[in-house]
Amino acid sequence: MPATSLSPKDLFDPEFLASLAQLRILAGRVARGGRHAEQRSKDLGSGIEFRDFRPYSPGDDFRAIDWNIYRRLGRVFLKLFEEFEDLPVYLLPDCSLSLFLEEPPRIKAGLRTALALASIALNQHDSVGIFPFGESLTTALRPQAGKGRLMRVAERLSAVEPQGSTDFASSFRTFNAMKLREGLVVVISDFFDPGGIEAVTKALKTLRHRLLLVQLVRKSDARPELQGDLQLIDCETGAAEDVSATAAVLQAYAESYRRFETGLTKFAKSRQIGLLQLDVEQAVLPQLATLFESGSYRP
Amino acid sequence: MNMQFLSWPGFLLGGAALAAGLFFLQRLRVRHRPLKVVTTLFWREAIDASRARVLMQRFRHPWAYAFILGLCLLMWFVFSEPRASDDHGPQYLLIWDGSADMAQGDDFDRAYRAVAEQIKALPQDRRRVLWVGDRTRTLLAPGEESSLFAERAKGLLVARSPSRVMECLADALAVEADARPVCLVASSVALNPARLDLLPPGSSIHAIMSRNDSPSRGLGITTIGLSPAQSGAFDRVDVYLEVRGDIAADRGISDLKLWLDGQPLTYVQEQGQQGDRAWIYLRDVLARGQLLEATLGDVGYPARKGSSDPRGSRARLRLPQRTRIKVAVSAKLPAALRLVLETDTALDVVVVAAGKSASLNADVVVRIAGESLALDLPFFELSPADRQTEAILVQHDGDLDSQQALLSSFTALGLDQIDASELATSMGRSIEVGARPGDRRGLSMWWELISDEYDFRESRGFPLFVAKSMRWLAKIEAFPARVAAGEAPLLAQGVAESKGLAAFRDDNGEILVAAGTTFLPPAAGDYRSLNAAELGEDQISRLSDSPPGPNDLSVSLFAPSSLAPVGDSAALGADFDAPGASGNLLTWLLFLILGLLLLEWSLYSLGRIP
Repeated sequence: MPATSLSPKDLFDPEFLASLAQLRILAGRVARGGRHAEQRSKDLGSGIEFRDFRPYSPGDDFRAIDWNIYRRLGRVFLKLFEEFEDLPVYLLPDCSLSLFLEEPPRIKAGLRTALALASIALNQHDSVGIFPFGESLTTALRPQAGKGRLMRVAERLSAVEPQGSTDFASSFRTFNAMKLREGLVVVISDFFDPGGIEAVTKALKTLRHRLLLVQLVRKSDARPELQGDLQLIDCETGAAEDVSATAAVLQAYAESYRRFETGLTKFAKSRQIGLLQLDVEQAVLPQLATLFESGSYRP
Repeated sequence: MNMQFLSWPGFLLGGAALAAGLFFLQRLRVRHRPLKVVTTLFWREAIDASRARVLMQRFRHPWAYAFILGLCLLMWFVFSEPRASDDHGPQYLLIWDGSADMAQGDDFDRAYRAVAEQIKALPQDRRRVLWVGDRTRTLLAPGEESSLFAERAKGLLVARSPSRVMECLADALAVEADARPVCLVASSVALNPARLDLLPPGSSIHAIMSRNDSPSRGLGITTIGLSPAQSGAFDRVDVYLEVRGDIAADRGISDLKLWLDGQPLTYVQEQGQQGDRAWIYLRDVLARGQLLEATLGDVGYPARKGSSDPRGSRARLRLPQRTRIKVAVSAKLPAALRLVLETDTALDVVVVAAGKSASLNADVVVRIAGESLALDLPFFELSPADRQTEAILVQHDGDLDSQQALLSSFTALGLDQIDASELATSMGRSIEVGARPGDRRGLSMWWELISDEYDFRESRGFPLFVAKSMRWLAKIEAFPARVAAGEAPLLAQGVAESKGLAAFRDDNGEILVAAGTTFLPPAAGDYRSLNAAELGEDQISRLSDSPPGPNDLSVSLFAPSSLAPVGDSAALGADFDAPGASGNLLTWLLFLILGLLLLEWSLYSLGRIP
């Protein structure tokens, strides 16, 4: 059974985390019902930043009536102010067996990415939940907020274990059933579902959250360096394919992979979903930083 | 098993078929190396997209193909052993001489080794191996496995017969004239150049056995034979024995032990020695049908494997049965005739007075016509000329025609010794010889022929006529002058001819039949004449129609090389070189194949070839 070689200390790299301090996630409007935090909420509240007026309705708070307007116009309007709440960030790292194969395993980069995003969210008082998935989805950490939670997040991330094959549909069905408050769902995966890109996109469409897709890739995904006659065994399903790595076969493989990649990209664009292709053989932070143009990422 | 019949075109066709088969197998043959990957999703699609539509595109690993093809072709070569112009190659005839001459030294074993060596080198389907002893035996027919040779040669011994290599060569070259076989002779007997010249021109004959330069390791009896006693004794014979081989001061003819019916024989011996030959004469051996046996004891050659009979160290010969003929003569017989009878050493003459009968104690009676003397015995009568027309009247027994009986016994009676024309001239009347049937043999002659008026009794033919007549009347067959293995029996009358069928049983119980030809005893030993009852039913009718054949024979052994000088082997072809020692090449090829197989296995294990 493959297992991640990461320990909480490996993930909890102070320099790595310090470099994330300047990054922010700015959601447009977070759903109502959250805790008071730094994200603008769809709700109107009692903040200090003026947002709008609206006519008085019985039951409104008299303290919000703009008496200057009443004096000039003779009509009663209420002054509305911005409400600031937190953004729930749900981290869904893929823990299927494919993430643990090869060297370095994709799970390392995936967990580092998850920790980085968790760190950013916690820094801005957003809540973070961890839901590893593979064949099914589990709850490693229910959404929690507070900068002091980062170490716990690291511990939960390092404790994830391989979960067989990837089944996006089943996992997301489980996630949806939790009826969590709308937030940002970060799916960190290689997106290699036995059902192909169609199964992936179909499953993603069921998520009623803002999405950020982190695709863990390596160069050999597009151009495998294989030679000879091989019996390729799927590490998740055990299915075997006899392959003779001829030029024609490699060309056909590249075409097939390109279609997969294009499908995922088109899906992300069509839904205005963030998609980060993270090379697992490169440093995580520089690649992650590309998401945060001028220091912030707006899902 | 292999395909030694396969020609080069056949081999090439087989090789091409192998190459084609391997070519297709190479396309199909894929050795998949297991490899675990994150997903086979894209590979599955790639395989579907790039699946080969043409078999040619699947051909891979050309070097591996070349290697395996070479290996298979090598194995095919070894298996098929292709032959160039196989059908037209020469046939080889290997002749292993098993005659008594080969009893010298270790000649017999050296010949065996020489033949075995050639068998290994010669192509299996074009060589025939014959052992030529007292008869010819095919040890290996063309195509038979060489390993059978040792098994079939295990029980072979030197035969008590002269060398028949020349006869075998002549027969083989005559029968297989078109094949023009190459004859390879393993024999220590020098072949007679004069007889070699009689073989078909262009015959290829080679000696494959070198002369024995090393001292031989024993003695062998090469000749045993008998002849009438030089002393003239009718009932005695002279016996000749010859040994050849390693004759030394402490080893020679003195080692020869003789037995007569199992009793040691102590006759005075005459002996001589020349080179590797030594001989002995036994004079005046009483001939009573005894078995004469000669052995060499410990100085003989050791027995070959699988046999308890030391070869060449024992010889046997049965002596003839000879007893003097008892002749009863009338007291009235003329003195001239009685004198002739009394001087014949073969006869015991008893004078019988008139009126007495000597029939019980005599074999033949000699009387005057009209005397009642031993009327139941074969007779020799003197008859007055006026009482019978013929000067000599022969009475024969049996159912034969009189004329035929007279002709067949003409020589035996000594009639050929009589100068009838001179006798007729002196007598003034014709001299006729007649024959008539009777219940016993008899001979009636004019009294006047031996009277003082004529000189017949003074002639050379008279005693011969009387002596032969006595033997004919007593039914004493002429003593064989020479009865030797491989030769027609030479009787006193000449070569014994058998126009009909003669059958004999030899020492080993085998029946030998000579139909219409002269019987040639193949080996020394005793041959008992068989009658119709003893022979198979299918031969009875033929035998009953035949005139009587020769009686039992005691055949001597006279190896011709010991009797008649012959030339050396210069007339033979040059040293024979076996065609292509393919056995060695095949051995090396097998080693090469083994090495290549190991190399292939190692490459396969290393994953260097599929």
